[in-house]
Amino acid sequence: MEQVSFPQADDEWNAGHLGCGPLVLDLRKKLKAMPGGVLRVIALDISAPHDIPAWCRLTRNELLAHDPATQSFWIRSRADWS
Amino acid sequence: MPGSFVVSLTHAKNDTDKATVAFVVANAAVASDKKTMVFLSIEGTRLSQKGYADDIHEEGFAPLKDLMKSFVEAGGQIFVCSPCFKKRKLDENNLVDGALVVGGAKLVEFMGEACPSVSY
Repeated sequence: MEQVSFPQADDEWNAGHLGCGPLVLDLRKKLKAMPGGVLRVIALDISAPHDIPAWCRLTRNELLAHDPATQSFWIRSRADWS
Repeated sequence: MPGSFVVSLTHAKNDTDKATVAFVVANAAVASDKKTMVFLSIEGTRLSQKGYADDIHEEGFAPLKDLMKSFVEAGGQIFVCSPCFKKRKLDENNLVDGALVVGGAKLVEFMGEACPSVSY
């Protein structure tokens, strides 16, 4: 069986069951504080697999990987926050 | 003319007239080559559950179950408000075909810069 490797994260955040607006608002604050860095987010909300990729596309933060088994997302914070 | 179209629906059995007309309009939009999404929120989220709409049949209209089925078969999407869904303790394993439970970011992305919408 092929071994799957995920990106190295600079920080990790367990968002628990946060969803919708509160999830992406807190995610925005965390990423804005670490431009260029990689954050591993664990998000348990049912909407997260749809919302986090959409939010990344909207805000130009790069979604590097998603592991459904651990409900984790690796996101590289964009460098040009203003 | 291509483009997106959103029908926002906040009612279910509390106003079956609105629930029905929303899907009638959604069918018209998807039939008109619009990338169409019905956004179910508040009480409307109950329509995301298989079997719920089976007994909704407004006089003068097709049964709601048939309207929802034809909408999805024509390529329409159904987004279901995640916090509203959770508040009502609905079952994520009993979703109608084509329904996705989403949060606000997915809705914002779908609507883009200039998306017409109609609310019921």
